[in-house]
Amino acid sequence: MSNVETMSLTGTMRSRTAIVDLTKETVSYEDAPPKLVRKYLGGRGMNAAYLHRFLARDVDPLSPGNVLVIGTGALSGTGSPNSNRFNVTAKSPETGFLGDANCGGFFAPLLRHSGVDRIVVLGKATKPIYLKVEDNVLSIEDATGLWGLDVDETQIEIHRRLGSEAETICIGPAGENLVRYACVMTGIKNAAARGGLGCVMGSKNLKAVVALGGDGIPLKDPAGFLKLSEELKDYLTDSKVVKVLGRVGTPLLYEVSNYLGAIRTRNSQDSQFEITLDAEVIHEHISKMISCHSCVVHCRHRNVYEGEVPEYTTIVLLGANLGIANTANVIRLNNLVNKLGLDVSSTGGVLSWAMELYQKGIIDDSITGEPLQFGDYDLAVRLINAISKREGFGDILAESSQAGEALNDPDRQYLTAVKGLPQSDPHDCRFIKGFALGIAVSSRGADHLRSRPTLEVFDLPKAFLREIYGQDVESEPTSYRTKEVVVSMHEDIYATIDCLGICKFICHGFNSPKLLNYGHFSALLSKAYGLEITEDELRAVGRSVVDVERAFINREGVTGKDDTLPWRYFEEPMPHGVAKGHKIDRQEFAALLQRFYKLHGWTEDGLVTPERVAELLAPWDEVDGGAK
Amino acid sequence: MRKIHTNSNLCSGCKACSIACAIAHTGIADTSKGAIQIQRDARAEYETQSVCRQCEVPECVAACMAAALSTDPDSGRVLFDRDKCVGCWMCVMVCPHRGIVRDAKAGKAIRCDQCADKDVPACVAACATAAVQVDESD
Repeated sequence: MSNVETMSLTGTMRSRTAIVDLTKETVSYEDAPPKLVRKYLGGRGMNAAYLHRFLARDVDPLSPGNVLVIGTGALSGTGSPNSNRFNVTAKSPETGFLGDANCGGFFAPLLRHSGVDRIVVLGKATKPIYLKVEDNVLSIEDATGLWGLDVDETQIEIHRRLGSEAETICIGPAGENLVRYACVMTGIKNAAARGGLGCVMGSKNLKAVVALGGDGIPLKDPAGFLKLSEELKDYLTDSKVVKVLGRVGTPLLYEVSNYLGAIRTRNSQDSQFEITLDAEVIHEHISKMISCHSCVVHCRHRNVYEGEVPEYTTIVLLGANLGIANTANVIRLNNLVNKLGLDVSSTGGVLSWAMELYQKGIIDDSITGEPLQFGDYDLAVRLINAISKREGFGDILAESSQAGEALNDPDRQYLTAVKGLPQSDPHDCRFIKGFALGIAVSSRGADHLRSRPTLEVFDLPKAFLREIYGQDVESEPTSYRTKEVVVSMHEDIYATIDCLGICKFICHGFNSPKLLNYGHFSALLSKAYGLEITEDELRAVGRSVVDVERAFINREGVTGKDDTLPWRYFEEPMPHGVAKGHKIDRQEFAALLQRFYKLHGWTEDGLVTPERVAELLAPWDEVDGGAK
Repeated sequence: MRKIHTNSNLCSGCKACSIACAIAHTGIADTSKGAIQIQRDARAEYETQSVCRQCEVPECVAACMAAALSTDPDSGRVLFDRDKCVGCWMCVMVCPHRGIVRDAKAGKAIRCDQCADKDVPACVAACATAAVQVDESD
């Protein structure tokens, strides 16, 4: 391909992949095919495309054959508002399908500045190692002295060895001990949390990846880019939702869900909880609000117990969901899982599952070793530590959804999960039907960050909804009508911004219908790289990502029957508040799924058509070996 | 004379000021090349900015043996001639405010020019929390 052709496809944007084979101890570099970059841009989409290329079918996720991709977004590290994110992607040891997680902090900008946009990790090292990217070069380094350290200690030791400017992603004891929901951490709290990607790192003897040095990212129109970034910053900081997120962070959502009666409480047996987890109460335990790189929101809490939490998800999953109301203790639990490198959502979901099973007499002390009671903080601390070390009952809980047989609940009736992934959204999805559809069809299992149509909560005027969704949609959140249209709009734009490396908190649709949309991102890419891409093309990027991930999980065995919901959501009405009496109607839901598949051009069985798969992977045809 | 003031209590540690400075002066997005830098340590729990404070008696000028640094007799502003800089880092060592940054690869100091050609300095324009502000009073 000529330079002129490349320029017309991707402008001056670099998309450099380092491929490291830990078994062979080799490192190579390639510029990603321009047609592929045009189709997926970066981050999540490119990671999925690389999985299709390198990962063979039916590989055991904990074997050396698994492939781990760490990829930055197309705008990561440019300095535009909230451009700091990256994705980690592999076959998930927790679900057996797609493991993909998006993460903020400071690592992604420095990785790009240091000269690598994406790392593909193959094979398995014979002893603990870490990867260092410095001045365009990736090297395999000895991790003696790092293995065994927790997340904080690991990063402190790396700073001691390489200087305080180095930025690190790493695993803690949970990843080393192959807990199926171990996450990848950077800084004190940022996590590529879902799907057990830290477990995959542990299985490869890969303790950390460190970035430093480099020559930065040359911009096509620096003055224009700065001016646009400043305008967007001013626009965003004027927004009410950005202001309140910057003041108290995501816990602000707790009161709304609690009022509705939709807070997951005691493993979703209840749906309302204590006011001790209200945002203003949480804030009494916070010393400062801080940021990720280039962030205009600053929603991160520095708490007074040596940590940087909590979030809405964590106060519910480790608080209400476990029946723990003491504010300080909930924050301490969150600090603990971060140090150990555990995914908060799965940790909370698995713990509450075991507690309800014990409560119902389905398991007893012969399995658990001690009584399990909701609300027991000391028990939660013991179990979380035991999980991270795979000690005693913790060894069973470390299996996540795969512990069904051992817990006498082989059908996982009492686990709030989809496709084997415990639900992250603190919101009980029996009430708002768009939320339910979103977690059912999410490519990585029960997760809200793929498509949650938060706008469903706001009771927006019909005309405004038409403007947002491009057609008339049902405004009633408990209706099933048109929710396929609603969820699709959100999944497309969230997928696009996951490719750009931008935070959802400044993105159209996540918390507000007035934040940055395709047009803003189109303008940023033009100024940054001279990459000219229309709003419609950017929307199509999102759809391609949704489809290429779907094609991946189809390949690994997912069909329409897996797009379902936890048993309780169909069978038990919600007990409290506005949501009282609501549940999911099986027939209505099945019909909604069919409308969703049709809208996507998938088969009635939820499969991407062979023609579409060929189109999605066509850019690999020009590369030796093509896609697998 | 224009001065750039910082307030670490308002600083969220995002480094937007550093990267904006680098872009404005070099066209390259590289946080480490900003004349304003953020010292942050999440574990020691601080974020604080360092940038030239335009000292009345600038130690850096006195320390510079290459005559790359001088004081403008009219405005009193410290001027930096990058071509003359030999990368000896004497200015970096003597500055009590960490106001000068090393570009070790280039062997040149990076020093705030206050964006004298702009209405608002790039770092100030980029800050979302008003933690970096410009003072135009004499």
